[in-house]
Amino acid sequence: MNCPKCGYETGRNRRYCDRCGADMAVTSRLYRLSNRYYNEGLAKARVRDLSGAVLMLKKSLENNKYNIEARNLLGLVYFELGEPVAALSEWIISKHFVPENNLAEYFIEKVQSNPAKLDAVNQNVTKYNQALAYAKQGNDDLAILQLRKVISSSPNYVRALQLLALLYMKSEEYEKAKRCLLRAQRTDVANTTTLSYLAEVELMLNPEGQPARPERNIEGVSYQPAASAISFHEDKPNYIAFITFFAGILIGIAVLYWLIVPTVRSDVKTKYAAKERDFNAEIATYTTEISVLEDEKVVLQDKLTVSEKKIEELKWEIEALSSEEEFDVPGFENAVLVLMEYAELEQKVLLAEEEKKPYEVLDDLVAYGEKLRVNENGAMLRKKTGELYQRIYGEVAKRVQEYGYDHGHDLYYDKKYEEAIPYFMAAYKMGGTDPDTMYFLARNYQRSGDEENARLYFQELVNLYPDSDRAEMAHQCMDGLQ
Amino acid sequence: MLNYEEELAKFQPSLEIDQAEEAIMNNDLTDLSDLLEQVVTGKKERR
Repeated sequence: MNCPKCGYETGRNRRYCDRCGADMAVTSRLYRLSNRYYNEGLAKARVRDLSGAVLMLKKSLENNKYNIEARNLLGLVYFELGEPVAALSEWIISKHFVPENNLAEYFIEKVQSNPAKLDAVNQNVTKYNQALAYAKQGNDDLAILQLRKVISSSPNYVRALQLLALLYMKSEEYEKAKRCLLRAQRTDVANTTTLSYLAEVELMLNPEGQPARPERNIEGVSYQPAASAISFHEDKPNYIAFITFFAGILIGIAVLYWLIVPTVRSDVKTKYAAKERDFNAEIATYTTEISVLEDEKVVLQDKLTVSEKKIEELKWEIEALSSEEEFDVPGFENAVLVLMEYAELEQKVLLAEEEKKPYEVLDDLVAYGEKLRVNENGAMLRKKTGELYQRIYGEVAKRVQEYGYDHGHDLYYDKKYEEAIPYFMAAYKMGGTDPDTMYFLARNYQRSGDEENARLYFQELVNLYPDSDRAEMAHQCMDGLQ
Repeated sequence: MLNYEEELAKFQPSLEIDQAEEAIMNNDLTDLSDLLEQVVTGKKERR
């Protein structure tokens, strides 16, 4: 206890100052009053009546500003209420009065040892002030947003909870307001503002005066010695964030493997399947062409075999001739030459037929046929040789008639009448006088303007085949001639 | 019924860290003992 006159520190229960002898009765009384208020404040703090504790502790300090216990407790209560600057102020002042062996030093060190936490607390105060400014300007939504951030960070910030509850009450969200007020009540049980707001909210939620729900059992709190009074939670490494991050990576890989990779594979398969189908189609086409060509080859080989057979037969006949009586050597040599020429002509005919142009060998066939007729009428003929020539001539003539008629017919329908005449003429001369050949021969003459020859062959047709259809057509054509 | 505007006016801004020094310096630490001393000193001066 300090003497009010000389400032000398005397014992607590001294009536007079040991140095100056001043009456210490009043000072002593003030000190006792301060202690009494401190006890009241401590009792209230123990039951979490923090607002009441603040009042009592302030009164205690009004009576004795050197009451360090009261000042330290006041700082602690401010800190619990979410007012860090007020708390630090009290502790710093406490340390100023009593620099050594002061619990305030421990509290200050504890707060300053975690700058991140202190900064976070300061940020909350800034946001609270900003929210209050928004509310006073009428921007309730912004104020609510800010306050929700503050409360999520400092859940025991009583003033922020009360302001948020007020804003909810204004927007008639009474349930939310009630939740905020109950949280505030958990921190400070007898706060008059909280209690009055709660009463208002209960009234709005139970307008018919129904019995209110039983209050939650709020645990009291006891003032702990400094060693365990403040518990700061140091920031632990956020394992959950790492686990979530790696889980996300694993899920992404799993999705890639089970959803995307099969799709890509099936697309590749489809593409190659399409290419495979195209290649198979091409192969099928080539196979078909090969098959057709092989068939043609077989046909041509058959024809060649037939021709070779004929030649072989003719050779045998020649050999047979050579054994006959009165064998004619020159005639025999001539027959051999004729046969050799026939074999060569046969090859030419086969090639022309392969190229679908048999009419190209027509002149060769006609010339060969003429040669056969000369030989036939030549000297030193024998029966067998004559028969051989006739047989060969017959086949040549048949071919000439067939090729000449077909190609001449094509030229006739292409209106190439003058070109068609030689073909029909060859067919007529060597193939015999069939009515169709004679008719078209005459017709070609008629179309190309040679009416004299036209009449000649029409008349021959009528004479040789008077009852045929071609004869009647010939009559009609002749009527059109001049 | 609560009056919203009246209740809102009761809320005051909280002190921030950078305002701590100013708040400490402006803190009135006069207690009843100081007042008593002033009273005693004043009486003596008036004598």
